[in-house]
Amino acid sequence: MTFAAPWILALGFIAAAAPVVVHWLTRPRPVKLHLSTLRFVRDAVQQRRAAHRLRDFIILALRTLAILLFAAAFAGPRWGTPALIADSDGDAVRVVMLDVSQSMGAVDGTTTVFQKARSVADKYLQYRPGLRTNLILVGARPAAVFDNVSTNFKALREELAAIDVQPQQIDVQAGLELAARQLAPKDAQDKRRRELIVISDFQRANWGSTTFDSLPEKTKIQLESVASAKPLANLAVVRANCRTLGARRDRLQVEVVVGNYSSAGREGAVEITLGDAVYPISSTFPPQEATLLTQEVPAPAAGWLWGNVRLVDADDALAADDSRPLVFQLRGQPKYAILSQPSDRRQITSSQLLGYGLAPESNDEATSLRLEEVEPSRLDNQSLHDVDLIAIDHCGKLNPDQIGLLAKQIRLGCPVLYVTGEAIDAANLDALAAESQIKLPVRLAPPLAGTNRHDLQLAATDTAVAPFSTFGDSLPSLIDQLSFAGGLSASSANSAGKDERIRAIYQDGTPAIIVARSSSGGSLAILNMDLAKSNIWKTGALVPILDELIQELLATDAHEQVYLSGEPLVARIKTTGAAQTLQIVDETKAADSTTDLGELIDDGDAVLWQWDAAEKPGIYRVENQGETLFAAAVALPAEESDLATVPADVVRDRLAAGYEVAYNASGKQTDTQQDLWKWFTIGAVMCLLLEVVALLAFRT
Amino acid sequence: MSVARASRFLDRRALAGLAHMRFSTSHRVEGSYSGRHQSRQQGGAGEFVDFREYSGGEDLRRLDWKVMARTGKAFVRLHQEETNLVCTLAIDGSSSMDFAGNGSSGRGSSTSGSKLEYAQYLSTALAYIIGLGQDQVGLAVLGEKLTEHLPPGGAPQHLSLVIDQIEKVQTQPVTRCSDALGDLFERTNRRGVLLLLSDFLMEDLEETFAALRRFRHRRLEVIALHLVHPDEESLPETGTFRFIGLENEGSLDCTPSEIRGIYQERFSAYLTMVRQMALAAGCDYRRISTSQSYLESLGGFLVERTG
Repeated sequence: MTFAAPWILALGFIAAAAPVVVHWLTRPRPVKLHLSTLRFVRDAVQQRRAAHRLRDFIILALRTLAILLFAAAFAGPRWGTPALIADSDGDAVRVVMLDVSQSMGAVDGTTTVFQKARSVADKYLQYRPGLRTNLILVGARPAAVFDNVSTNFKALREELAAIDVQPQQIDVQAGLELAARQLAPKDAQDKRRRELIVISDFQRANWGSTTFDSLPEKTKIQLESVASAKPLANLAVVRANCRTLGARRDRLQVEVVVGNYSSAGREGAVEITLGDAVYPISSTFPPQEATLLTQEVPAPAAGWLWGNVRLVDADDALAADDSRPLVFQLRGQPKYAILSQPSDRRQITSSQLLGYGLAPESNDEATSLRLEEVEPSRLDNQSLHDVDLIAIDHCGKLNPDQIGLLAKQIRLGCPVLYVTGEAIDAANLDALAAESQIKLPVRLAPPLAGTNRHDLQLAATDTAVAPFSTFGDSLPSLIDQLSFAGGLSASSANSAGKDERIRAIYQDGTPAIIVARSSSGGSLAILNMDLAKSNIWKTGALVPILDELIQELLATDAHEQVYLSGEPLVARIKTTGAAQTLQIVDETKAADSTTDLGELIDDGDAVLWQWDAAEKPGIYRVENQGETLFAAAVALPAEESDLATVPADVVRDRLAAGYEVAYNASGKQTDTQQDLWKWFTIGAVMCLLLEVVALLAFRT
Repeated sequence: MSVARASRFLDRRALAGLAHMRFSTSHRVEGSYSGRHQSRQQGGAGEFVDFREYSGGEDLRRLDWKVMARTGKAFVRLHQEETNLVCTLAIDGSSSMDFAGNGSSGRGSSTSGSKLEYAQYLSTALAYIIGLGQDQVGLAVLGEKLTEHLPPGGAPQHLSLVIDQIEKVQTQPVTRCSDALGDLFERTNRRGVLLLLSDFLMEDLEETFAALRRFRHRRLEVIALHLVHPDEESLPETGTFRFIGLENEGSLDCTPSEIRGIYQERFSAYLTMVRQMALAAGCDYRRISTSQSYLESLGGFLVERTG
């Protein structure tokens, strides 16, 4: 409660002492009188004293209270926290930041959080002389209604009435920076008052690390939280993806992560729709945890596969996150290209063994479909087209063009498996690693002269690490049987201790298997051995080891084709067709929909799909004459599902430290109650009446 | 009867109306001289009252020979001897007796209209009347101790001395009376009457009546004259007062209107208690309001005594 004229209240406090002073000043001056029966007077006084003291206290208290209430009534009492943003006169620049992210669509009782936010925002968009205002709708890409602050309040309110929740994640910092630009003084003479009103649910996931430092100094910040007073229970599908099982990609595993953002565990069911098939999964979702659900399904024919994961009867605060699109490109059985020099076929070669390990089918025709031998001299883009993995063995010296081509393939996501059977491979690897920006854990070098690299034994290896996890507990006995030869020496030892990129190591300290990745996602695996001179193929361990290794390498290109709504979508589509022949299809809309779905641009041997912002979740495909070339699942950002809010004191005291900040929780009405003086006056009169009643009561 | 010096408390003209009245007692007393009052002695010189069968050892001079001749049985004649009254006037000399009502300007400034003055008038008149009856009168002034004691005497000079001493009585700020009564008891050796004039505003009320009970055990008649000032019975109507105790009781500020009811209840209960304690101790109790003329009070008292 505040007072319009606190000095009157101060006077009231002084006046409250008046009854005491008056009582003291007007108390009767006693007449001295000798009395023989003083003891009876004393007894009587003692008996009456308690009652009289009570009476005096009540009378004095009521009288004092009456004066205080009168003073309070005259002081202009107002109920509620004094608004930081007052409708006072004077020039001011006001920016209203309205959170339009998906979490604002949460249902709170009979209304949504956003509807509350809209009514709060409307209050700040009312005309007042000298006030210039702008409205910033803060989603993934904050946007101001006007380029600059304006006096067109009507247009702002109309925009406010038209706007709705966007299926996006809020970019708070971008919004604040936009607001800072709007609030920035025009020049040194610009002394207008600056007000920033932030209306949001202040989600912890989005506001936890926000700072208001970009705002101009002396900006008054009014934080209006419209989040529900009690935590809202929400269940959400926060991730849905598909991955192949096995190097031959003959099985699929759908992985669904369901987050339970509530204080109680729930039973629930998830329905996975993939193509024409529907797979229901029932599970228990513990509170405040993300539960991983998996469903293994048979792999259909190669091609794009899309579907949806939906929570059945979720009945939660936010319905928008109860389903999530799912897209997967099933590439079919992987195709390999083995880059090696032609060799004498009379005896088994290392590249042949590598081919058998990669495609161990007994059917030569099937093998030839999956495996292509490429001579280094014939290496070009065409020879590597549609290849899932490039295996290199005994390729001789590679020239820079070839290295560049291989590095490009690595950068584009095609992994390379390099078998270092020759000394020249050290130079090739150096160049390839440098060109593809892959940092190897050790530098491999040709063996020193006189060094015999044969009968090499593997050192003890962790059984849980690929590519040996298949063997389990039988790995030690397998290692005892294995004998390797060839390969390169390590010219520089890894001084950082055990490196997880080195999957196996020989007893002499040189690495046997290395799996390295670039920051862009390219993979390069090195088998530091000559397969033909080693007995790994004789023990039968080559196929499972390669299977697990290839599976790991190919897993990198089976990435989830999920884009976040509100975020830019950029995809490179490998196609030989021109961009004009392609069409973007929104699976959830009619074909004649005029919604902007981005544009397709020719980019050399591919087409680039650029979409400034995927507007809403769903499946979007790029097709050429009915054939799907690319599919993207645009999903809601998972951060919007957690409706937990940042504590008020954190927002007020830590995030917005240094500014004059007021925090109003749960969209409470900040209008101060102006007619309190009536109640204070009534209270004062009541006190006086009570005083009379008390006097009468004590008299009787 | 002549009194050597006139006391300001002795108004012979006013007492002339009461001169025919005598202070009497129904109890048997022990006097030094023959008088109007029944003596506890039943000798042969007094008025015949009865016969009693002779028992061995008795004085043969009291044997009624005529009755013996007629009846053949020996009877002795019983005569009631009459003697003079021995009366001791005990005046409460505590400071509370100085109370002269609300109109008094204060303690010590004047005792006009005080309870002590009233007691002095009353006791002077009583002594005068007792003297007129040829009885002996003594004086005891009760303070912390027995501050003044004149044994009973019948001579006019003694009476003058008593009246003179009554005039000179001064109060003391004491709250106890029993010790003085104890002293008086030890100095009293004859049966008679002890007339105590007091307001009974003392702390040792029980001990005081215990002391009076001892007088009663010695077969003295004890008369308690309870002097009550009208301003003691009710407090002033309006205003706020600082009441100052007369017996070093300190002071107390209060508004009488707030406590009048309770005060009156308590004071009335106290008066009742004093009366009951006096009667329980075998005393003759009489409450005298100082608003009444002492002559009226004395007349009524004497009439009552005479029966």
